[in-house]
Amino acid sequence: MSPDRSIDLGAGFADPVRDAQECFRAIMSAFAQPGTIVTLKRTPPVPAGLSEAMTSVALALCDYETPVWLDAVLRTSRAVTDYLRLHTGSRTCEAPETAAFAFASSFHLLPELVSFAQGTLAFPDASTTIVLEVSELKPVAGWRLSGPGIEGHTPLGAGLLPPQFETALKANRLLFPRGVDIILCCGDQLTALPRTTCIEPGS
Amino acid sequence: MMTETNTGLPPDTAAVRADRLLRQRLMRALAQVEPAEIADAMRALGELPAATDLRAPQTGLVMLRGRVGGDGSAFNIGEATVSRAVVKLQSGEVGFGWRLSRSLVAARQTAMADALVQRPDWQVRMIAAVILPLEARRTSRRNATAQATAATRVEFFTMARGSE
Repeated sequence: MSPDRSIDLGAGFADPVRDAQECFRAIMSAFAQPGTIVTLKRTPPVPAGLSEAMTSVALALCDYETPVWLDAVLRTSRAVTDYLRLHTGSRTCEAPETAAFAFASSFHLLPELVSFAQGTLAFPDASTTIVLEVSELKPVAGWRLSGPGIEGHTPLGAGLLPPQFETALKANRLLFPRGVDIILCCGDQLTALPRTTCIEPGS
Repeated sequence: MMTETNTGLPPDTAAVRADRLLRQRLMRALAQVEPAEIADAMRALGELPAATDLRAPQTGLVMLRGRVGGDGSAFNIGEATVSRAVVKLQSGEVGFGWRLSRSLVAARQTAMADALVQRPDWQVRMIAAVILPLEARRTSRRNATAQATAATRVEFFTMARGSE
């Protein structure tokens, strides 16, 4: 067949309703207990460039009403943009401050957190949720998290995130009730860093 | 091989436009007949190439919007039941099927037909076995309805009235 007719597209969730609900529940748990690492069980086939967790989050949360920002690499990938358009119906947006969700395959492709939608005092929920892929997620030393949903403190090791990310998260927390929420993904695992979470270098 | 830009759209050449018109004509033919007629037409094609479901057939609602008199602001008229499916052939073509009704089978067959008509080696067969027969069915049904209606037509006359 002539190659220009073929489209690089894969299937979504095997059982769209049930799988999306299960993923939604996992994200809820992650936000309720920041820093807890959740493993997703029913992940869909993924387009090249997105992990199982990122793809699941996109399928569970994005729809035609949520503008999606993609980093420079994901944005130029037909496999990723076609997949998201077919299975979520969402449109990609150029400006980070208009995004409901932002997907970044690497920290280095993520602009400053303050360039995303921060919400307003009247509507703090109108902020961007940032979904960021990291090289590893481990419940060991790295960061020491505390705040709502955490009894005492919890350790979190998110691979290869530089110190300036930690600084940006601290600044983000000071904006409360405004600010962005972050989902860190690694393979089929994810964890959440809501804007309320206090982050310190841990041991 | 054609190069594609990241707009997702192939270059707008005469060949691409012709393919698009053919797909549109196929969709129109499939949308205007009953599920059983689609099944008949697809059966006439014989054995079909293997395909996987990118989106398994599903039924849902679409909101119909309208405006009075063609202007004014749009409002929601009501919802329509729609079934849809997306299939992918092993050779890479992706077919999309949407139709009114709850027939999941017809939705998938519509998607399958859309994928097949994109393949140069299937186009002639699709025109001969699907598009033309279904268009003929629709025309004959429309004519039958027109005849049945014409037979019951009542002519109204206005008698001369008054006394002039």
